[in-house]
Amino acid sequence: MIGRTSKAASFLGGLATLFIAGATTSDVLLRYFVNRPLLGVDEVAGFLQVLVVFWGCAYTFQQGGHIRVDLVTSHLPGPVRAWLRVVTLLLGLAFLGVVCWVTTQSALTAYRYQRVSVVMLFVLWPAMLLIPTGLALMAVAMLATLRRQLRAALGPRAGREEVGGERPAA
Amino acid sequence: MSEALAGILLLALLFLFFSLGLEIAFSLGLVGLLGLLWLKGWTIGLGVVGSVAWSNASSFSFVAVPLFVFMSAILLHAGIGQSLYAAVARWVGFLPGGLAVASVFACAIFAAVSGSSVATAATIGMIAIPEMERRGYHKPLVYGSLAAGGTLGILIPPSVPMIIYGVMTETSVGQLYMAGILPGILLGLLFAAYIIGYALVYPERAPRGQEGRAPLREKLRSLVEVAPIALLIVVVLGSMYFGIVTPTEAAALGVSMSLLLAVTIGRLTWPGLVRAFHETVRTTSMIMLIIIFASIFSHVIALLGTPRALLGLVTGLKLAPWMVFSLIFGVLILIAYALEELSVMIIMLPILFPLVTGLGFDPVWFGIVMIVWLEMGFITPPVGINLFVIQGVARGSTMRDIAVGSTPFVLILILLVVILFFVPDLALWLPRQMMPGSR
Repeated sequence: MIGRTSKAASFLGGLATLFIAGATTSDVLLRYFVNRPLLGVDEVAGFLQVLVVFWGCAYTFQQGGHIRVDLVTSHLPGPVRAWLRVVTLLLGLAFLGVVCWVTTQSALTAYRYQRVSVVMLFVLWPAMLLIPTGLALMAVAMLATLRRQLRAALGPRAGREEVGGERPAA
Repeated sequence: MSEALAGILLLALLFLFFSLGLEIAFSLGLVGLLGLLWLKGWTIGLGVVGSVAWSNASSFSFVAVPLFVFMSAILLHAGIGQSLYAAVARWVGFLPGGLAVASVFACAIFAAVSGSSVATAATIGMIAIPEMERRGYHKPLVYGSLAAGGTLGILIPPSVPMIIYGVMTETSVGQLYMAGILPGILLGLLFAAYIIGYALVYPERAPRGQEGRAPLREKLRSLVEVAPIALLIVVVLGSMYFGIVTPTEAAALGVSMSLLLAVTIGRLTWPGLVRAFHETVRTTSMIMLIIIFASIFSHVIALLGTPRALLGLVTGLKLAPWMVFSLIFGVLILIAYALEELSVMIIMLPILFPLVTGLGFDPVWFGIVMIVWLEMGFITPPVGINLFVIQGVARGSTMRDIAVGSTPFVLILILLVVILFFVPDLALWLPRQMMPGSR
């Protein structure tokens, strides 16, 4: 369920990239050949990039795409590594919690004051809400990993290892 | 001095989180957050986090990152590598080690439409590695030439790391692109020269074949096959050079043309496109999260005044600039063997950039040096990303063979940095010739 949701969010990010490319290309062509630029394309592209980055981060986490250093941990015994991952997942979740809260507050403030973009006066709060929603999805994915990691750490001795699903790449 | 000390303490905390195995992006954000709370208190500190996250993620300059990643992914899944490699092999195949030379040159040409070293190594490697293995080429030579050739992807424009460097340091990305061209061509030639020399000394490790003996008509026909790629290069780089478009807009044009090209030659399928979607999102999300949380960290470093303190400290030592530069670069080479370099560049830039430019080095020139350093890091074990790419592409390859094969190319990259130090115009001449409006 979490996997499917985050994959769908990532797919939307891909579509958004495609749209950015199409809209920006049209803007360039119209500006260069008929001197009629599409105003506001850069602002929309910026908003969509927020979607690509934050709605994509849960899927990226599940694919092991967020880089970690395993130079030290790879030399530790399995059970130590299992518990260390519990600690780093908790640290990561605590940090995500703070950022989620802060960015939600920013979006609410933007809504209250009806903050708008500079050129086209688009309201900002919907795009700003993409940040906490995406991060919340990532937090859910991390919680699922934490649950599996705790089971592995408390389970039979042979299985006390860092759980898969995410690959420590570098 | 106390500012420098506080900065060093925060860096130490950062490396502690790294070594625990916490995600690099989270480590940066957490240390940045702690620093902000300490310096500015709860209300202002948290406000900074919110505004930094929004302003970085929605910046139009950074939009070039997902676009260039997407463009490379489309070209990779459209199988552009095949016709390109075949054409290049027909022209340079007569040389000693011809197939490996062709790999490097094919990488150099593909680099002019790709902003990523991973995509370059994968696209050409997928075609070239089986070809060379069939011929009986020495394995380390095969893997080394592809791992190293792939790194040309970030030196020859477009280049994703150059966008990051440019936006972070407020250096013109267009100028950085132009500055990468001549060093990129020289590097390709140096790689080729090494391969030719190697094949002359050990002819049995690079057996000769029939390529390059093809009739002229066939050679010319192979050029027609790669004409669309040439057109893509001309549009993406030319439009930027003449100041018609910004780098982000050039990236968008590149995506549209690549899609058109991939659909025309009929090699891009729907599943291929979806894979390209996910790859784009994954790479973008990974890089941008690091950039966003690193900018919280660098905000703290700037508040502390660490870069200024460090510059004062270094100028107080009264060392010649070349000594300082050698010292910095020596440390960077060691780091290249230990950590993931792109993250290190993002973390170190706020400290290194003011120091180096404060000593009188040119920002564009230093950008090129940082890119060459990244290339080095990408092919140094144990965490060089291109080594993993080659391992993924070449079935039955061992990391040992790949690392051994890449080592001579690391030395060539160091040689390029030395050349750049003595002949800075190698990088800086071309940007000076650009149209005034595009600078």
